[in-house]
Amino acid sequence: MKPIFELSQLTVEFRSPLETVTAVHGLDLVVNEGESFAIVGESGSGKTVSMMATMRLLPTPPAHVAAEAMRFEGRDLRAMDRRAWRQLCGERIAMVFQDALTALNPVYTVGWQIGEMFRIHRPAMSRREIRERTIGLLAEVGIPEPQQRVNDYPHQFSGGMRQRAMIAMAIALEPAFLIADEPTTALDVTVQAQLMDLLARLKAERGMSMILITHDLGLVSENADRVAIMYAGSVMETGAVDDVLTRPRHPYTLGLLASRPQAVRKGEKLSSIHGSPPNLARKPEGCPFHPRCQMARPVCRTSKPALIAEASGHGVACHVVNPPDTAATPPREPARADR
Amino acid sequence: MSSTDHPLGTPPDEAETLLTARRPAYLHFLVRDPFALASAIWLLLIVLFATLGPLLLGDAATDMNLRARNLPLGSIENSWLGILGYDPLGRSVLARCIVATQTTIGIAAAAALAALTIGTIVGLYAGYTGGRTGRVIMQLSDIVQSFPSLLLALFVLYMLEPQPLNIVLVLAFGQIPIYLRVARAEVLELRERLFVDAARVLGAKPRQILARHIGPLVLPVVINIVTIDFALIMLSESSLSFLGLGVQSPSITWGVLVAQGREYLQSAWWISFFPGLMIMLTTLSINLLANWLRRVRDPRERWRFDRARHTGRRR
Amino acid sequence: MQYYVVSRLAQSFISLIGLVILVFFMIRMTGNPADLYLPDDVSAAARQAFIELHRLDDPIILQFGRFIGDLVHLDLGTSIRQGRSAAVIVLEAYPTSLALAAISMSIALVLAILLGVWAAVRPTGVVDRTISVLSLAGASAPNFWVALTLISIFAVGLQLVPTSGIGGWDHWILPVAVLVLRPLGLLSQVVREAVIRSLSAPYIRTARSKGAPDRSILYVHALRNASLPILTMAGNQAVAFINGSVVIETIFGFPGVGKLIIDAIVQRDFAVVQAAVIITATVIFLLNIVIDLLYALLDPRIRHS
Repeated sequence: MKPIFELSQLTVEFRSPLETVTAVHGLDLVVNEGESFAIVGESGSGKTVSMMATMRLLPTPPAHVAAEAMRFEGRDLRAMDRRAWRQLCGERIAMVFQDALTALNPVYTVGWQIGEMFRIHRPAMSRREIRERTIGLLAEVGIPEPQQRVNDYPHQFSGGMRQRAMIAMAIALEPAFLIADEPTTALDVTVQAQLMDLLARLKAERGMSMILITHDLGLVSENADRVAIMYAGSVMETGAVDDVLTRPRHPYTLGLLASRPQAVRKGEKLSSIHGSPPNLARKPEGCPFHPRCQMARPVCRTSKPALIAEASGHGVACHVVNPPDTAATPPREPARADR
Repeated sequence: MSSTDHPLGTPPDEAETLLTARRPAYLHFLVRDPFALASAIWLLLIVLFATLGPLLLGDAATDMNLRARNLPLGSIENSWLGILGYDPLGRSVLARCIVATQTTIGIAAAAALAALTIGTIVGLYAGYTGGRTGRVIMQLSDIVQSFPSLLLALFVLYMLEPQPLNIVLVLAFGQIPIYLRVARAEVLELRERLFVDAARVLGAKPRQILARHIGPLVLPVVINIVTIDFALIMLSESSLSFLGLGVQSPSITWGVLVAQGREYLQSAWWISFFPGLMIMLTTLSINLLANWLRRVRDPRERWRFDRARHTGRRR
Repeated sequence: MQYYVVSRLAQSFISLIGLVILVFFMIRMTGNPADLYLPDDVSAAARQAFIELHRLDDPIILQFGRFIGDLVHLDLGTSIRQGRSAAVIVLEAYPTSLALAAISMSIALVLAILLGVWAAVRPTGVVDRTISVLSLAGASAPNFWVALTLISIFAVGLQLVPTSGIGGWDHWILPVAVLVLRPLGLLSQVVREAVIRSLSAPYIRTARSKGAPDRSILYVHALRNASLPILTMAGNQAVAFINGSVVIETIFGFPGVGKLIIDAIVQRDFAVVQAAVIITATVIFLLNIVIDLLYALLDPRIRHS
């Protein structure tokens, strides 16, 4: 299994004179070729910020991005100058965003926006060719009457169709890697299912690798190969989807799975995880989850647990699961070098 | 305190409350912005001039001294008042500028206040009553607003005499639609809120509801506008006075002073220059301060004020 | 789209009618209209004769009917000074004012976009703060004062341009320069704010993720979305030009509508003043239609609503 995308000790901070918010803290991630990797977490867990940071979509005066390594197809992403990076974007890596109504420019037609991919990266293409390819893409993602729809504006599409159009835009140049940030969150369940099917089909047909960012565990179990569960900027548990969801080990994962409506019998009270996510400007020392953890021990308050993986790749960051005296290596310090 | 005691989960600790509920320390931010600080100081000076000017310098502004006719800038031999020069009747330009402050500011303030009061009340009424009356009022307001204010003022003043009261009313009239529109918009939004229904159910009369409940919420928005509006009115009044169709002799405003210097542009440019400069500095100060205030009150912009301390490298 | 155009047209037309009605009643509220036409020192007999001649003591409704009738025939009264149709006098003066307005607005708009975008790219940088203060200064300066100052420096002092009058292109430099100042100041601030707001929208992020070059992000993606508030302010300023032209034309002796109005007021030529007001209202009506059409052109969401 060859890795296509690697992140090592990614840290993202938002610095202001009043405070520093650490949105992502020491994130490690490896996505292999052809794989669907899900990043799961509640709002504020850092799942979106980590990908935005990698894609250089965060304004870097308030944001500070640091990492030990950031590699795509073996190339060091941090070392790329702006021109090389802009060539990569859209061509090899593409992103699909959450709400197509705001993610698409309201004053230009959908056809124009999809065509922009070609205008930027394939300057030799003629306008007619671009139009034909665009119509073809719309058809491929399942939009009916693409010849008419290509001249329509985003607000003239329904939610599901709009999201399909955005997917069409992302796959226009046949990228090897797709990052989908909550692609179905704004849509209703039936449309969700259709869209995920579409993504799965495209992925299989084009041999794409994918990162799927979501808070929906159901989506993960049906569509992803591997998963990382994030909380307050760090990974709590990671591994193959089957492993993690059927044999969860981290207290947070346990809490998440227990709080699903399907986890209780009819008539029983729904369970939930007490407390709320921490203020990311003043995170507690030690394990970020310990204030809400039922199994917290004294050591959890003082030292941050490292992500320790067993041979199967199933890793957990928890002192209770991996008591400190059996830890192989001490926790590492995140890199401090500025971009 | 364990997390299971508190009904909403972990309660925020004291430090967290302080940090997230911080109210802006206005003076602190004022000092940090040199433009805003300068504006504030200038406006304080203006208030000083307006209140004490005629009292202290009244004579210097009106006494004619034909030996000092059109003396240039910096003629401080006889008196420091000559520092900005003299006008064709030998009166100190500086003294006249300072004395004119009272009438200028007075008219503008009166007009602004009148516009604010009338506009807000009518707007509240229009918004609360709604229906046809509300729409008709809005239509009338739109008509007045869509027409250039100076032209409207000139037209109305043609028909009335250019007495100070008429000028104030005419200037106010042009600005009423702004407050009307804003007040009405606020009322329309607030009218649907629960607390208004509650008051109505308890038997409160519309007038009471407007005054007690909706009014206080509309006030901050309206006050925000009046600062800029005041500056606009001042500019309008200056234009009217400059054209000779505003305040008449012997009252003086800055606009009148500029007009008086117009025929001496070649020989004694300072007569027109300094009164006009005062108009500009005052308007500019009001605008800068209003800008500053808006930025300080917006929590998202506040961090920019401490930028000098921030040493992060730029992208 | 058609519905939008028609409804906006109707709206503006109602405004126009409303203004005309307002004008009519305002005149009669302040006393007998005869006093507006006649000089102060007219004898009582002459005044009465005038009133009877123009049937100014007829019931209001009758007068209103006649007023509307005259309007429909495009008869806005006769100038006392020149003995000609007031409407024609006003319309003769309009081209000069329109030319001044068009030139000034174009220059102001182009400069404002350049400056505003420049400031928006690096907010709170030195460039931004400078442009901010200069814009504010431009918008705060009383136009008559700036005009006199510029005349002092460039016409009288340096003798680079003529002091007043209309003639060759050099006569236009100072008036245009003064008229550009306020809209430039206000528009560049609006451009700046609107572009900054556009740049923080999600679709900009999408464009970046597509690898779009910065120039395209600014001028194609962001600016187009910022155009509505810019157009609104531009429209406001276009109307405000009339205010400016009254003063500037008077100072520079340009034979436009502004100077015409002031002269008419001083000479108590009421027919001309009234005609100018009504014609200006009509011009504003037409301008609003143009602006509404531009709105629809710039934002497809308005077109389809």
